[in-house]
Amino acid sequence: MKKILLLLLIFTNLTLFSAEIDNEFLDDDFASEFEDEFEDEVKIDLDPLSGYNRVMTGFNHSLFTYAVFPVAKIYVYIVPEVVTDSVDNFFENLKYPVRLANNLLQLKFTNSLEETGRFLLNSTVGIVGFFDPAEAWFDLKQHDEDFGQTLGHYGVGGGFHIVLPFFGPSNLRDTASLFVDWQIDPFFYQAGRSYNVLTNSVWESIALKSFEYFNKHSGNIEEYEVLTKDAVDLYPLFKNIYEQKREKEIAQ
Amino acid sequence: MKKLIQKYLTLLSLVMLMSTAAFASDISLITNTMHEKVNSIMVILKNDKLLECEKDTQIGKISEGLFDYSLMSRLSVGKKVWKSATPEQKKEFIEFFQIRMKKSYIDKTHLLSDEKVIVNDAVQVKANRIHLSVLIEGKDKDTNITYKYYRAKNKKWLIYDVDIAGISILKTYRAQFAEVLDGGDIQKLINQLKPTLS
Repeated sequence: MKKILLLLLIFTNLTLFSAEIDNEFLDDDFASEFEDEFEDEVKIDLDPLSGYNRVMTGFNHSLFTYAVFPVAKIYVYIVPEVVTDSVDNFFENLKYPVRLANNLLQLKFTNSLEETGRFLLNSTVGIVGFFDPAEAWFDLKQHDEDFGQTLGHYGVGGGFHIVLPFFGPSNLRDTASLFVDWQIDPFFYQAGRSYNVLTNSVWESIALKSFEYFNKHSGNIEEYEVLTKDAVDLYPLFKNIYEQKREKEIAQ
Repeated sequence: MKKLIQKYLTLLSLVMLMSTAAFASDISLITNTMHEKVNSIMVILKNDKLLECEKDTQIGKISEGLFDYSLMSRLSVGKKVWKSATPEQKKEFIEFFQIRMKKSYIDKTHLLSDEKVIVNDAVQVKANRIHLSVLIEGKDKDTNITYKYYRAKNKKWLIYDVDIAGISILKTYRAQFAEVLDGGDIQKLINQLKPTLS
């Protein structure tokens, strides 16, 4: 019995001791432990459009810095935040069909119910969606889902990167998915479609979409400026942020 | 014999308890330090009597000793590039990267001047990793910042990465550096990081 006890003692002390060594990190183990956390990011993915993407990133950056931001600064100065928020609520409320369809496609039924509750409440009590009593009073949260996320949810990879004019970073999967989402987006116009609700031409829908985007991000100029100020290279920076963000959204 | 086993078990559980207690104190130390630092940074940001550059120096001083810049430098270029760099290059790279990181960190704290900052309790995620999340309550949306600590050789806990809204800052640097390096020499990157006088 004593022998067993002694063995036990030696064994437990040994494990305690070896745990201590682990924490000391032998240099190579130590580095490789961190590499596991970051490895896949170092290699540059297949990027057939990198030439175009770089040009478009530069174009967007100049467009924002010299044309959009000066206007946005005036817009934010004149228009009270309550109004920009309400306008955003209005647009978001009408995108309910897109969110519902994609929540359902991913079998997220609780989220779909919550979305439906939000739409009914905000469209009526919230005065056609300008206000958000659903979240304020009932804590019903919006669950953003688009077709790109639905595909990602079922394991479809992003594919190569594509930078869109004005709207910025995207990838093959998400850009192609836009066309799917637009089919049920009330802002989108398609000639010959019997259910064009809010717009009468493609240009009108582009203008509305751009205004929505402008209104939503008009308050984020400072963040954009801080982010871009210390960039070593804008294109991989935006690209990486986009991919990390999408990965997180898909996992949710 | 039974007594002996009992004694041994009590001793063992005592040892176990003490080791977890050590971690508990590490966690509260990290949480409290961050609390103090965030509070003093907020006081500086709200102080209208200070010039912007004075604020920057003071915030820089407060943030001293939190980050492991040499580890971050090493991770930002990846193992292969780091191994191929000469000691001088490594030293220079760490120096320039550190200047850039500090500046970027200070610039970002300026965005917080009108926000409410809540420091949550640190959480032990692995034996040698602690995550501390800080919530920035904005007017229309909240942003979560996660500081990732590891236990350094001297048993000190240091930050090696920061996630802002789920985006790893170190990963964004890695992506940018990989593009500049393009499988090549670290010197190109060092030249690009060299701080300009402007």
